Amino acid sequence: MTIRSGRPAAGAARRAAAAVLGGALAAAALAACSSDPTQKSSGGDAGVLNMYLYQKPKTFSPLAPNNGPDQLVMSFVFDSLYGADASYGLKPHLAAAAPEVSGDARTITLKLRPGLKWSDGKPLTSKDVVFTYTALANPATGSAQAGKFAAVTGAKALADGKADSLAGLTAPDAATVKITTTRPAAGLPGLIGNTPILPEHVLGGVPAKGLGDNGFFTKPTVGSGAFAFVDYKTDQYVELKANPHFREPVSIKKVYLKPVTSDVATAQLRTGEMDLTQVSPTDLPTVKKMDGVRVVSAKSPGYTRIALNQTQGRFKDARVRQALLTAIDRKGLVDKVLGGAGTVVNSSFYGDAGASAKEGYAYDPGKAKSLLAAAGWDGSKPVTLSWIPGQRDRDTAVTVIQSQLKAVGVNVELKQVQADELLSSYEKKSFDMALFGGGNYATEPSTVATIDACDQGYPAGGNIGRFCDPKLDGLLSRADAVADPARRKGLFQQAAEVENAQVPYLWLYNPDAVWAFRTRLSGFEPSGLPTNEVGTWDFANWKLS
Amino acid sequence: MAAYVIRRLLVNALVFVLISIGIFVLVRVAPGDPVRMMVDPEQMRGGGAAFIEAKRHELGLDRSVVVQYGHWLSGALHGDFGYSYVGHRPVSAVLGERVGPTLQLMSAALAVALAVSIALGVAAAVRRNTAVDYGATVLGLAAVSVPPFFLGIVGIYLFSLKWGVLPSAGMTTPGGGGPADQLRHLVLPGLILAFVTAGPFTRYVRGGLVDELGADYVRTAEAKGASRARVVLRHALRNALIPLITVVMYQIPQMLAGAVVIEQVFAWPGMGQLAVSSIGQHDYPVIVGFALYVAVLVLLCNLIADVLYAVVDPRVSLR
Repeated sequence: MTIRSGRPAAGAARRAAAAVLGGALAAAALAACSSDPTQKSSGGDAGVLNMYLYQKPKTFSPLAPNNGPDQLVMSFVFDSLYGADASYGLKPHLAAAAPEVSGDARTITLKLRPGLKWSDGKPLTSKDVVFTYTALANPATGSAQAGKFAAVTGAKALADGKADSLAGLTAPDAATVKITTTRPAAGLPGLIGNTPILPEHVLGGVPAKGLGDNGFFTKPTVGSGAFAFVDYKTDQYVELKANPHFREPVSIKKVYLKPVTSDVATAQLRTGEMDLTQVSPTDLPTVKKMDGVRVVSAKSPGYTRIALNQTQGRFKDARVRQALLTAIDRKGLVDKVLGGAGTVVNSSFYGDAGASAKEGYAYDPGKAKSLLAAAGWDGSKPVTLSWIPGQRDRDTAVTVIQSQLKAVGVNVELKQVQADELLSSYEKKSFDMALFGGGNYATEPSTVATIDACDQGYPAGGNIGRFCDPKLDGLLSRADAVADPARRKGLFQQAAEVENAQVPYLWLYNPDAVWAFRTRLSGFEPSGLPTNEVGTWDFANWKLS
Repeated sequence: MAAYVIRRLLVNALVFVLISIGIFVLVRVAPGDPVRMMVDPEQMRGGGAAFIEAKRHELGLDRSVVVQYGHWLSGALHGDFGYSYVGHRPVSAVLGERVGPTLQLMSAALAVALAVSIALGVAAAVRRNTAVDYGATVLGLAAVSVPPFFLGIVGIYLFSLKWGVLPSAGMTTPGGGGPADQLRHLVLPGLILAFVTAGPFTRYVRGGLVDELGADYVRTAEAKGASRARVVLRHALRNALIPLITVVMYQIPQMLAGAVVIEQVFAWPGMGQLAVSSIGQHDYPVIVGFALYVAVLVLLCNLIADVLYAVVDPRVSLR
């Protein structure tokens, strides 16, 4: 740009410039006013529920890797054969009854309820179940769940592209699904039963390869859940309406699921813009003071725990792991950090299955010291404790743990990491200790194998610490070979005992799931499941005044 | 001028390609792996490693960065900017639906910021070294010093929680809402972004006007008997506003940065929110798409600033 003088005044050009600016402003004003005038406000409307989504959903596909917010939306839109009851046992949903497992645990028969329908009125039959399970077992669809179906006859041929159906999965009639397996797999219904069932009449014609990327999963307008999907306004809200063909009558007419930050959700709960939200235990005092708001909580099977890298010699000795657990005042963490809203646990097994985990590892620094001494612990070498920061209870817990371990001679250095950094350190086995959350082994205890079994080292499986005890593996696989629920429970209890003694992880606590809602909502029963898996709500009981 | 614009556009195209290479490489060499992030370790049942490998292959991430860039560039030349890993939709569609909300927020804020800063700048210049001038200076200083997220939180606390007059988040009430509802949602984030933007504008208007008021032609006009208001508004202000055009154009990319924060705080479904979530999820195609969008915005704003300057100020010529 250069400046010169003497050029005649460009009046027309100046007016044009003014017009450009004016036009931009007018466009802004217009944009601010454009909307759909046919729809009206819903805040506080009878029959319309506003619920908090703790993150933005990515996709509404059961084929995709499980993602909490996606699961939460899917729990409204899709139904599954089984859900979970309050104690996390299997509860029939689309299924008519508990699964029938043959004596050798190699044949499983699942019966559907009569008269089931999709939200578009078409009948829901065993063909839909076969279609869904075949798609889930086939990695070519983009399924991240194929591993769950490994025991089904023909799963390998399907995965290798040598077959396009699952040989061990059939529908003898419209209400029956029959599964045969290559090895005993009594735990299979618990593993796959909570998967959303997909409409074969909508997706059956789509090629299996890349099915997971189909547009249906961004707008799943046909489902069998209590609500039908209407729209997802990106980043704003998911709109759902009551499904008239749901297996039970639902009284709520519309649901808006809103992804906002937890601070905003709490604020909106107070202003009435939000009816139902999950709150962090650390926010409890604020929420409890609000007028017209009720707080309820449920015991959760989700863990906060520390993985120890057992490829390092110093963590291989069980006495060291026991000592570390004994050196942490877990009851104190629950009382002080969670405000009492949590449970100290001593095994990955939950409820009855974990009842035999008797060693409670009560806080005892003296005992911890002597265990460490007996194991020949070298206190001069520091131990890094990695965690993803951002959750208040965990951020506080790590500092408490650091000081308590220091008191017994374990020099802990805290290390904040990003999610992918943590995952990469799992893969490279370069971490020392890692604090993380999640997990639900309550409905099907054999899934503990995913995090404990010798052959499930990350990334093949979820055994982050590379713990290995053939005795535990043996008990878990024996439990899968037994059809009788009582005998299975006995085997799980033995497994829990072994796990309790060996301490593969430092179990810290199971934080309660705390829910807050405006009192105009009634009949809401909180679910303690960390990801709100499909089949955890009793929508028919929910009422709005 | 046409030749100048064409030349600038060609140079911009070259700069754009260089930026795209830079961004592409930076995004790839940054630590993190989108595929590993897709699966929670505990959900890997035997098939985890195989899933990760297959997905990486499917997304082309197992190939060299050069090959990946070549693939991306050939697509981009045909208008195909790739597919979002997370949203499972074309990047252009993902970005496209975010442009509107961000434009709405930014243009509303810009309109308010210009109106306020011109009024305030004139008042401060005319009443130099009085309480009005000092007040404007303090306000301007506050606007550039206080972080927008803090203003957002204070705004939500006061207007939504305490007084309950404005909504705390979102662009509309779920289900639509109508123009009045949309405007109510726009007020708080729009005003905060306007406040942050108006600070520097006010300083420019004041400074420019003070210079012009001391110029000879102003004295001539006053000597001819023109009223003070006419001299300030018709003569001096017109000339004082010319540099503001450049400032506004250079400020637009800055505003976008402010909008990123405001969008996060107010759950405004625009580009800023998309950028933040895409970076968190290592959604490479969307990150590259967003970065290039910003690059285009900056290049375009600079070009428009130069051209407008020449259009408005007859003494400027472009070569």
